Amino acid sequence: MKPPGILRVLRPAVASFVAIALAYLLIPNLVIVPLSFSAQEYLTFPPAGFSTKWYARLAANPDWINAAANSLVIGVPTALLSMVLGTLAALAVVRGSLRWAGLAASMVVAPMMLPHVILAIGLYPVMLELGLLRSHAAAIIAHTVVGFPLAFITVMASLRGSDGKLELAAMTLGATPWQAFWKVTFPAIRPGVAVGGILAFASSFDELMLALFLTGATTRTLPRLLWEQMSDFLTPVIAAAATLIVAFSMVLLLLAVLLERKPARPREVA
Amino acid sequence: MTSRGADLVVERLSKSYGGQAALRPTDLAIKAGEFFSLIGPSGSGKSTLLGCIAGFVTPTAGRIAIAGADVVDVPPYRRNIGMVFQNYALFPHLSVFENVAFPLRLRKIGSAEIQDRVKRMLETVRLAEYGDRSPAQLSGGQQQRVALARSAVYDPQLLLMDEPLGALDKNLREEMQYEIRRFHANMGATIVYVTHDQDEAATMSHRIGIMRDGALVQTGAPRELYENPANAFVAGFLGEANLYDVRDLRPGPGGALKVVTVDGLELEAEAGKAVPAGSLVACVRPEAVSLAGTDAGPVIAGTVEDIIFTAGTVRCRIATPQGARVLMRRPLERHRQAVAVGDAVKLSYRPADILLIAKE
Repeated sequence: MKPPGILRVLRPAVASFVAIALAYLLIPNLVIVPLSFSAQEYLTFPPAGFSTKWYARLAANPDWINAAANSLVIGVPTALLSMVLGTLAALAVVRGSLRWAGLAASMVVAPMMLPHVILAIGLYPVMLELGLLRSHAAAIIAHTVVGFPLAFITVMASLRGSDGKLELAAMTLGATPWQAFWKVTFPAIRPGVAVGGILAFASSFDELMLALFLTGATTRTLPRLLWEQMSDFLTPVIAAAATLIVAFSMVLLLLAVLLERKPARPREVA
Repeated sequence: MTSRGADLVVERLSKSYGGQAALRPTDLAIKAGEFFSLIGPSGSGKSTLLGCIAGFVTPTAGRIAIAGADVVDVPPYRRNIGMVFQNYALFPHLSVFENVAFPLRLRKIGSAEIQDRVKRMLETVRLAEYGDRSPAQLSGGQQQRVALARSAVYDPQLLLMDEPLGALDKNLREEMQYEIRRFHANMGATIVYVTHDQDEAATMSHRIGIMRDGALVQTGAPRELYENPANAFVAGFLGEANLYDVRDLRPGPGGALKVVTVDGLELEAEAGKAVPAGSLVACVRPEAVSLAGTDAGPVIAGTVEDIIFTAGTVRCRIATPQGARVLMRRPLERHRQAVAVGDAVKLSYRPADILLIAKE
């Protein structure tokens, strides 16, 4: 398929525009990488010399190890909860006969649009009252509010792409609604559910505001520790930690992209 | 593997959505093993009726009995029916074999028996070699044959088909019509078949039900409906018809009945037949009209306005001096005594072929 004439003329221009846009999106994230290999004792730009000692120091510091563990302990349940809630909400909106499906969908997505600080201020007294403040549970609950809309959106997209008649067909063939979901609907939306889970995990893994309000010294996440270290010690250890976080997030996003592309394959015949 | 189909009884069944009647109170009885088609324009309620029988649509009132058992409160998955959809509805993540095996696996049938039954079923629809393929690798006709196999492999007592050939092109449709008839003859299940294609319904069914505005207008064998339509809608929907609003009926020559139409045509009909009450329409089938030969009889004079050739037949539209239009259809071969546009012709017909039917 050839592009229309005007686009063909503009092609080099369009290509360079895309390149600039991508550079604009990525470079700020990558500036941190050379800083982490600096040989100097504090953060300077441009960095001077080359050293990997900051990575060694990072690995030796139990604070960073604990923060990484906390991020996982909070991120994984957040992802699981988001996948379950997002799938249920998407099923209700796409397959259900809700009168206010559009409004319900907007309300599910709303937490994504609202400033996290407002959510944080609202959740703080609630968690205090429940005695959950500074617990992992508090962060999981808060992050799920933000992660669940992400899973909702991806699952909704894959549900819209799969034919609702398949579930009816399964039911005429003798499948209960529960069986129809697991044997027919779920295989069709599995990539959407997985991508939603990854995005929810990534959003939790990168989230600072809610973590600042709701976690404590023993439950603080990587972004929160990063934040605290920024104000106390400006050493390249911070850059090393940030580099690893960026790398990890990119791997997650890459995984999400690969999952979305993967075509459904029929099961082998026994 | 012949299975006895179940009989289906529908009594005073109705469905309305927010005061809007999608199905008016409907009665219908289908015999075990019968091939019954529902036809009608879109929005006539045929899919609603089928949905109620399948269990996807909860009727507002009325009763449905399959093999004598009331099923209105039975969910679709326990009605033991099969259903074939227009877009095939094959499971894209399963192979052809697994699609057909799906209902058997749900019924916890042993894997040796599943192998055996699926294999035999795929042979029946002539897809024995295609078990490992993915549905996406098959043509539309092949996919619909898989869907057919899947809907019948567990010997359902009732098979519902919702415009199963609607997505196929003409040649394939005809091949599949034959396929489904053969299938029905082998399986013996009761089939309720929804289509908007009257030829398809006439080709395949023992009986047809014609629907309009959420109501069943008439049911009967295809020929019965064609020869004795209940009203002008049925006459016009099933086959072609010349329909004229009747203004007056009066005694004609030789004890015949003279029919005067609103557009001034004067026709002779057989006297002594029962005539429905209310507004009448005179119906003449295009093949009941021919060029007047030597034999005497009533004639319609007019001018040939248009001639249309289709495979095997010629249709001529004749305009009468009063401004009425008469469609004449005859086999292509006989067109040797050629008529041309503009010719003055006389059309003859038998008074018995003038049907006086209700307008509504």
